[in-house]
Amino acid sequence: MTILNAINKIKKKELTVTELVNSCIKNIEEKNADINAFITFNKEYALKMAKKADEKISNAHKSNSIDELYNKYPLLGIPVAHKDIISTKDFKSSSGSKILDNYYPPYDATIVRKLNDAGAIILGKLNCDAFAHGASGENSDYGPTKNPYDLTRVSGGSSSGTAASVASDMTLFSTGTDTGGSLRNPASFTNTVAVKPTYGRVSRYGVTAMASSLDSIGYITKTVSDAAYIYGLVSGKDNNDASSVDVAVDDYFSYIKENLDKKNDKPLNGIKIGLPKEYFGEEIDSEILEKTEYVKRKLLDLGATFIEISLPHTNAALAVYYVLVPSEVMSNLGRLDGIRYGHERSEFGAEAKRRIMIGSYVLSSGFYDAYYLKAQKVRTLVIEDFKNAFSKVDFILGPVTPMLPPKLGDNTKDPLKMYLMDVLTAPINLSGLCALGIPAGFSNKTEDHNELPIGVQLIGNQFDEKNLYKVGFELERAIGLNNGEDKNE
Amino acid sequence: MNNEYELVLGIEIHIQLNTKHKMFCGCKNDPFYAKNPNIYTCPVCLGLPGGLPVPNETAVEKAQRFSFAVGSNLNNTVIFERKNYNYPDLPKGYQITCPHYPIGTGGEMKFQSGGKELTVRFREIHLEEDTAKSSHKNGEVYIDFNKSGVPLLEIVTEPDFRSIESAVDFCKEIQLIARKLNVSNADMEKGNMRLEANISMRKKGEKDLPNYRVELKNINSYGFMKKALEYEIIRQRKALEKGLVLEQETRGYDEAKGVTFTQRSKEDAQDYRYFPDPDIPVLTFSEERIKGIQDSVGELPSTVRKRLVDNYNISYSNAVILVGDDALLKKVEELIALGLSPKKASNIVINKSEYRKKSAKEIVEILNKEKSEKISSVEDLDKFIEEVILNNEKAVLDYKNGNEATLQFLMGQVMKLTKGKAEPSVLISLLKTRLSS
Amino acid sequence: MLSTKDIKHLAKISDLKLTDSEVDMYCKQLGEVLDYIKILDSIDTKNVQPTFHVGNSTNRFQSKENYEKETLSNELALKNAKKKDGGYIVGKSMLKG
Repeated sequence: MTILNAINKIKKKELTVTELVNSCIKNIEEKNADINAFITFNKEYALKMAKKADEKISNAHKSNSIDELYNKYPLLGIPVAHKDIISTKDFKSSSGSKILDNYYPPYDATIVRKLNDAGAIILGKLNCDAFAHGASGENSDYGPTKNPYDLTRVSGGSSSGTAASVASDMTLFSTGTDTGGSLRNPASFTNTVAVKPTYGRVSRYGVTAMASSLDSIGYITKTVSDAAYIYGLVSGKDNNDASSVDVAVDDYFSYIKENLDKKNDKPLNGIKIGLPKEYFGEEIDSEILEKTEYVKRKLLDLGATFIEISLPHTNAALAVYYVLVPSEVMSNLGRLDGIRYGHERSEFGAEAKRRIMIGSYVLSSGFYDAYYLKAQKVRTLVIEDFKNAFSKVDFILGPVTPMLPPKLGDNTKDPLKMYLMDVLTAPINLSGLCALGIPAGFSNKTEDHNELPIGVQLIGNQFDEKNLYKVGFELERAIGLNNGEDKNE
Repeated sequence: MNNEYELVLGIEIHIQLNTKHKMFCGCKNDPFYAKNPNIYTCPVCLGLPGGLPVPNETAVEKAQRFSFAVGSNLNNTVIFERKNYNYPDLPKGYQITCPHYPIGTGGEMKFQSGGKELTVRFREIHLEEDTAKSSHKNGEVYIDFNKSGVPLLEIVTEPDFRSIESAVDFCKEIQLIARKLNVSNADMEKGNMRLEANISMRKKGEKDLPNYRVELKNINSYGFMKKALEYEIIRQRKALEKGLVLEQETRGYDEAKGVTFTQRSKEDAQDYRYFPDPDIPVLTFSEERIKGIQDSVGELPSTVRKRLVDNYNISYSNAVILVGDDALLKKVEELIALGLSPKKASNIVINKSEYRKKSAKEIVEILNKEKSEKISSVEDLDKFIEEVILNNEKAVLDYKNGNEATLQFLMGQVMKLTKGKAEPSVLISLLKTRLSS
Repeated sequence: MLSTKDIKHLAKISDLKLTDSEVDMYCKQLGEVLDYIKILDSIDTKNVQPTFHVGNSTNRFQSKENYEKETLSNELALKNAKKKDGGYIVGKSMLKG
């Protein structure tokens, strides 16, 4: 069930919100014990809100104004769940950490307010790596989230519950954050779509800050169409966030709306897509490379052309990321002193402590120039790499992770190994660009594992989301994964 | 003070700006008068997860006007940074401040002290946020976040002060300017101004700064400052005379015992790990905008004082009083407009307490009435003069024998009889005439 | 390479309390991360300006419409405090002696 399908059915009186919410509840009750996507789930609250929504809808049907109702509340009755680092007034928000296991925010994050205003119904709060520190979900203090496609493997991270909840139909969409790949990574592991907005496009107010200059607040859906439908509702300058950018909010859904029922010949004619040679090295799993090639063929069929480009500072970008992130993390976690909320700092998990100390190290007097300042300078070079690329191409295509979803426990003993998962995604955050994570297919079945999801990322220049959605939409229906048209080649 | 060593003193003044709202959030800025603790807080100034700072434009403007007014150079770029340390009254675990790209850099200010004009140089003036208010009780700390996030202007001078008095006079001038510019009440008793002193001593004649510095923090009255500094000067001088090496440290002052004590040594010194705050975009000011701010400043107290002394021919100390009190100055100017001489007008306003509650118009009426009631005719005055001469034989004799001073005495006696109504200039010449006959 | 003394110092300024075994573990792990970061040394950044913000905004200020909008009641402000008394939030004193 996608958001667009649900709304369609509701408008045609083929579905009530209560039925929709109940089907999500059923999946949560049946699967969450195994998958562990939800930390907090409130059935009564959801059903209460569903009833209210159904009343509104029933009145609108009676007065023939159902379309107007959905113009006013575009997500009326649509179940959503929020990553636990996002503040929700009515739900405990622990940021995946036991240091905040008793924290009930007195306010809603801006993205929560906007989705509430649009009529979405909150089912609960989603598991994640504690404080968003991680790329697998295994740093959560509430146990890792398992991959719905293979319960012995990780769901990805840090927005692990975000991806798993959508993949297992526990909710129709879920919010999350992407600071170095934390939405694109779990989406590619779970056959779902990730939306990583341009930095500053979506307000960060109310989201526990991980790395303030890199955090992008986004979400995961089943389809690109759903993603485009939501985008305008959560975007925009926010008075409460000085880093939110004052750029007009586009109509991101119009192309898809016009073309849902039309099949266009070569709709991507004239669009140039770059393939960074540094993203296709031998350290990338061969099946992932194959699937990316497959996606390239699909895009060629749609009329796009490809250019090989170079992003020479790709490797250095990861080092930049692991200087800047710990610095900002150290500072952002300084507010947890157990006095106004939460428990004592000794309750921090190991990854949080590591990042805090690395941050203190690289910022300490005497080291600031050699580490922090140096990293910010190399960051400029990373940004320039992309500037050069976008002078030649409109979008960039690449894999998301270097490996298939690892088995639980594979990477937990070696922090550095975990950090390397971000090598293809972190540079995009350093540059503040936008990206979509799009399902490309599945790996082969082996003795070790069933078919495992593989996703790709489509990267756009800052604020070019409208065109990004166009490309993503056409690609998605050409691949036909989640709407049943094509079979993998 | 001993002649061998001289004081090397720098001052840091913190003043709370009188904006309606806090520095980085929309909460009310009114910690002193708040009826209850923790009623002006929000996710930002309470340091909740997800709170984000958004700068207060009025605070920035006030800071810039003030900096320009005192003679510091306004910067085109201001960058807020995070100063990281942990303390219960610091809700975010860092204070947002602008140490490296401040509001004003350098510049100098002239001020009067001990009858001389002194100059002090500024290191910088920057804008930051205040911490919460904490009070200690039974081994616990009671915290009120109404004060957390209030805009604070920090004025840092070079160690140019050579005496405690000059530092006090400088601080008082800063207070005056802050009030004149409507930037702060700068009232230490209300907590909207505090001082810090950086003290060292060196041999007279030495040009280099000493290699140590003692910080005295949280000075909240001039009395405290004088006593603590006096003690420190003696302590440091004695140590230097003994050949001891003095360490860089922070000291507190124990009022009861009258001594300073070590609070934090160099080894305990915090590593603030400063870095630019990623949540706050850089502030850039065009030359036009800076000029606009400079133009909006108006007359400084020092300019007004000079104008009063030069144009009105009044004493400097009277000028100081008038500039320190808007109401008084206004009344003087009104009296002058009504025809009084500036000197007489300022004298009346400052010295005559009986006229305090009267408006300028009322005062002029009274003066005119008094004038018309003055006894100035020769026949009228002669009656009184005769009586005084008759009753003060010895004094009259003294005067005739050359004692000029008794003239004043005899004048006083006539004044007494006439209940002050004798016109002084007429009386004195008439009295002289009568006495010499 | 980091020493255990370095880790203890880092823990102190970061307000973290570590056990001895933690100190040893982090010493090794942090050392590896810092080694990895060394790759930055080889990159020429002469004449390159640092990027502190990617948003390209400047001069963002409080908006009048937002004044006092987010202010919390005393009850909400104190909601999550471990200890409260008479409207105050109460913590352990950090004063020495």
